[in-house]
Formats: sequence, C-alpha cells, structure tokens
Amino acid sequence: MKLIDIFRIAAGNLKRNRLRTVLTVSGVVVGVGAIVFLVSLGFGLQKLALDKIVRLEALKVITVTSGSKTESQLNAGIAEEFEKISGVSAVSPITRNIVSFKIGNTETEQVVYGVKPEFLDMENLKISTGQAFSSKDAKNEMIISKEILTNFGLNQDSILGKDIDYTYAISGGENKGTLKVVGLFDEKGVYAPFDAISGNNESYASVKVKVADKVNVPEVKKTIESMGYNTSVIQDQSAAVNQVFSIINIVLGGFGMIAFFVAAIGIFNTMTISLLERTHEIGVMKAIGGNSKDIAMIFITESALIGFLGGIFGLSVGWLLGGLLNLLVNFMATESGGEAVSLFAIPLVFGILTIFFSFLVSTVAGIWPARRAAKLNPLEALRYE
Amino acid sequence: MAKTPVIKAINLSKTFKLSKDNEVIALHSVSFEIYSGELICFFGPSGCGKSTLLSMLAGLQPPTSGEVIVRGKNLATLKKKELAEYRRSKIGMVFQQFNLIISMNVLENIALPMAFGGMKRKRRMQRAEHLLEVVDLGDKKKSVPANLSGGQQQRIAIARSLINNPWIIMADEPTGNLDSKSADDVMKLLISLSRKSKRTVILITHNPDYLQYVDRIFRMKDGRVDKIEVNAKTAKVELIDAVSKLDKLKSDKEEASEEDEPIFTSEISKIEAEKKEVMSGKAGKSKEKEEKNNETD
Repeated sequence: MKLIDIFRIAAGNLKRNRLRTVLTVSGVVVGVGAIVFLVSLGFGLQKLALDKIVRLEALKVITVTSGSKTESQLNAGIAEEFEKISGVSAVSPITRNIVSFKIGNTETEQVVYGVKPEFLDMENLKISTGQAFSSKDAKNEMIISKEILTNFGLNQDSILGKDIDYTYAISGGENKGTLKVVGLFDEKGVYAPFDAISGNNESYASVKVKVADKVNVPEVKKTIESMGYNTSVIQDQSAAVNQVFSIINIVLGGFGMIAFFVAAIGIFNTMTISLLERTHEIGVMKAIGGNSKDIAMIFITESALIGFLGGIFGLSVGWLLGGLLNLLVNFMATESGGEAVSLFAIPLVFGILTIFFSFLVSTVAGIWPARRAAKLNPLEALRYE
Repeated sequence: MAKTPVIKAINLSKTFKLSKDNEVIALHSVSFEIYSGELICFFGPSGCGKSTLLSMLAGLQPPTSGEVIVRGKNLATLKKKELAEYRRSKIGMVFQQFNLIISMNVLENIALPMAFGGMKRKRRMQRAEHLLEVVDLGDKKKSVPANLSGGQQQRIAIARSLINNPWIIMADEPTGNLDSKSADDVMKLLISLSRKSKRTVILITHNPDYLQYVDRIFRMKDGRVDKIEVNAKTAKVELIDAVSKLDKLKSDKEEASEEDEPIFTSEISKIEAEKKEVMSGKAGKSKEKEEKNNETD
C-alpha cells in the first residue's frame, strides 16, 4: 500500500472520531505546551542574564594584563604590536595612577584610569549625566563615578563643568594640571583621557584589545598569550551562566515532561480503544486483502499524526502563553517605572525539536496497538462485533 | 484426470479445540473440485460447516488437515503476505453483513483492495466508478455506506469484490440480511457475473429459492458434503450437450486448456466419484454444531 493511502485512511479515521481525536491531541498540546512554556522561560531568563552581564560589544574585548616575566611589560610598543594582529579592530591602553584632587580645601585621592575615548564604547560605559569626552583629542576632561561626589562634598549639578586641580607622582617628580568634570556615570572609577593622565608612564596597567568579529576572539587571545601576556575575556563568565541555565532548563523541561508523559499514555489509551472498536473493520480489511504491515502502518500513522498535530499546536500554545505573560509582566514593570524585558525565548531548533519529539513519542506509543492490530486473526476479527 | 480445477479441496477437516478434552469437528474430510466459470452453491442448515469451509477456501484459516489447492497452488505453502495477496487479487469476498468500511465513501470502499495492492488513486477511482455502473449505482459515488440501503450496500460490496478482477467470487449468505426484493437484485447480479464473465462464483445460502439458478449444489450436513447435485435447468444446454457427447468429451478434456474448457465436461464422471466418496465417508462422528465453536471463539 502506498504511504499516501495509508495517510488518507489514518486521517479519515481521526476525522471519524473527531471528539476523541481532539481530546487526545489536547492532551499532547498541554504536554508540549507545558514544556515549551517552561523551557522558553528558562531560555528567556538565560538570554536576559547574558544580555545584562555580557553586552554584545563586550564579548569582543580581550583584557590583556602583563605576564609574570619582567620582559612582558605592557607599553606603547606592545600596544602597537597588538594592533597588528589580524582581526584586531582597536587597542586601548589603560594606565592607572593614584591622583590627588584638590577642590578648595578638600583634598582626596582617587585611582584614575587613563583611557582612550574608544574605551568607553568597549566597556559600554553609559554616561548618566553630562557627556563623554568632548572629542578624540580632548585633554583636560574627566568623567567620574557618582559615588565619589561625596568625597568632593559636591552634588551632581555643581560638579559638572568644574575644573579640579590634580597632582600625581611620576618617576622623578610629579604631574600637575586641571581636569574639567564633563560627565557622571553609575559604575565605579574615574576616567581621564589617556594623553592627559598617562604622563610619562612607561608601562600600562592593562590593554583592552577589541576584535572585529566575535569568532576571532579565541584566536587573537591565543596569539596574545603566546607573546607572554595574561588575558581574560568576558565569555568565560557567560559560559558559566550558560551552564547554570542549561541545568535550570533541564529541570523546567522535566516538569513539562511529566505532562507530556501523561499525554503519551493518553495516546496509547486512545489507540488501544480504537483497536477494540475497529477489530471488525480490521478483519474486513484483512479478508479483502490488506496485509498486516499495512494495517500496522495505519495505526502507527494515526498516533504519529496525533503527536505531530499536538506538537504544532502545543508549540503555538506555549509560545502564545509566554507572550501573554510577558505582556502582562512588562505592563506591570513599565507601570512601576521599570524596563520592558523579554522573559521568554524559543530558539528555532528547540521549537523544531519539540515537534519532532512529540511526533516520535506518539509514534512509539502507537507501536503496541499497531502490532496487535497486525496480529489479529482475520476470521476472529470478522466475527467480533 | 488431466484437467486442473480452479479449486481443489482434498480431505479438508477442521477441528476446534474448545478446551483440553473438548473438541468439535466442524468439517469431516471434505473433498471436491470446482471448475472455471461454475456457479456453485454450498447449501445446508446453519452449523453444517459451510462458512468454515468457505473461510478455508479463502485462506482465512488453515484446515486442521487436508489441502486447498487453487489453480495448482497449495494455500498452505503461501506466506502470510502471499496469502493477503491471494485474498486481494485472486478472490473477491462478499459477506452477509456487507462489511463496508463506514469511514470511507462508496468509491473508496470499492477501491480499497486495489489501494492495498499499491495501485495509483486515479486508476483505482476510475475502475471503481466503472464497477459502480456495473452494479447500477452510478449515482451514488459520493455516498457513505450509512446512507445506503442494505441492498445497495451489498451491491457496493460486490463491486468491491470485483475490483481486482479475481478468478473467484466467494459470497457467504449475501442475501441473509436483505429483504426479498433486494435479495433478488443481489442474486441476479451474482448470477450475471457468473454468466457473463467466466468467473467462478461460490455461494453459501440456506435459502432454497436460489438453488434453481446455480450450476451445482453441494448439499452439506454435519460437516460433510452430503450430495452434489447438478442443476439440469441452468446447466441445461451445456449439460445435455455434455451428456450426449460424454464419450467424445472424455477424450477431449485431456487436451482442454484450463481457461477455455467448457464447464460441465468433466462433471458427470466427477459427481459419480464424489457421490461415492461422500456416501462411503466416515459417517457417524461428532454432530456438534459449528455455531458452538463460533460462540466460544
């Protein structure tokens, strides 16, 4: 018998018992829906967490610190060499100096990082008040953390635009000057243009190396390491996050699996009852020349169809449910002044796998009834009413 | 005896084991031959073993002992798949309860055996439509069995039995569930099938009204073929011919081909032999009814 004809008969049988088919499929929909809903919540949270801690740009940045050997110092020459490595798009050296600031009679010491303007992008530093460095060549500007305002005894409005005297020690003397506060940010630290604050520093605290394409990060990292430097990338952390969430996803999926298991029993039950109901019909089919394999295939196709339909609808229901809940959460979040987020995510592969899984399990659930149908004695089946 | 019968039953016996020490013998060593184009009727009271016999001829159950040989092939040697193929394309079954598939429409029902054979839908449907005309229900293409009368359903079932153009039609009480008008229609159809094409038709009935139309009557009783009668009325011309030319035919049949041989040429001598066999059969065994087995199955 041709597959298409088996399919036609199977579909016809499902149509004949519409209510029962709908109920059985609903069972699968609940199971698949539960899996999709829970796991997509897991995926969504994972994505949210990764987005929060790992910005896309930050993933391309390698932080290089000096190695243990004395010859592996970070300096201008090395920075230039880093720039020559293929795949590197920008290099930003960072100096670290302890600088004392003086405003009126108040004097405070702060760690000041000398950075290039592109560093702010690399670090994804967001200025909350004021602005970033006014230009690439800006020299006498700085941006500071809101946290240290108290150290100066000033508030946000009064410090912006203020020139502050500074001094810091360099080998054989000290550097002096004034820096104007142009911007404030939430994170910690004080940043000043590299040219202003590096002075005649021979060595850098660290160098940020930005790679044009994320894929090349491991390669560039390896090259730098082979030059004798220590490196760290933010991806190491995201791997840990991924690991945690894969466990969470398995647990969530496990809960959904319980519902799905019940649905599979439902399919089995439906097919077994269907077998009893159709015993006579199977007898007729055998008597007029249907062979056992075709009859088994009709049954298996029916249960596979139930699983396939349940998989598709279950995926849709799980997705819709997640979307609705997300809308609700976001509505409440924005009402209370929070940020709208996406709590649910269904990766395409996961969606396809879910449908396939549902299809597979239902097919397996249909095997036993199908085998029994195939083994029926035609004569006894014909007599069965 | 060089002539090959369409169906040859050799010492067919069927015993049903109800429990450890309770056996029922449904058929006692039955032997006969049926030839191409014959319209045969197994006639007898219910429980005489006619349905059991037919189901063994159809390969639906194996005999306890004995052989069924159809066109030279012993059914016992066929594998399960070959047996299904045999039922699909060499025989057409017609049942008392019509046995149409209720979830399929009329055309799909008729074409189902062809679908089992893997035939393309278009071709099957064409043939099914043609057969629907043959059974005079051309206007019922899209109907489902539930919307048809018993007589119409049975005609559909007959059309289904014809779909693969089988050698033999087996009809088990085809009129048992019908009113007399529909029953007559169905019988006329079966008779015309036998007369127009040279198809062998085997009929089971316990209605004596139809016996006048058949070529040979196998009277059954208590699991035995009691008597084989040739119906002089239907077989008339050929039979009279056959009798008058008996001597000539006896020599002719040695060369006669399987397909084209006249129906009754060998019958006269055969009947005598079979009668003898039946008469001398091991009489007086268990007379329990086949029905009993059916109930306990």
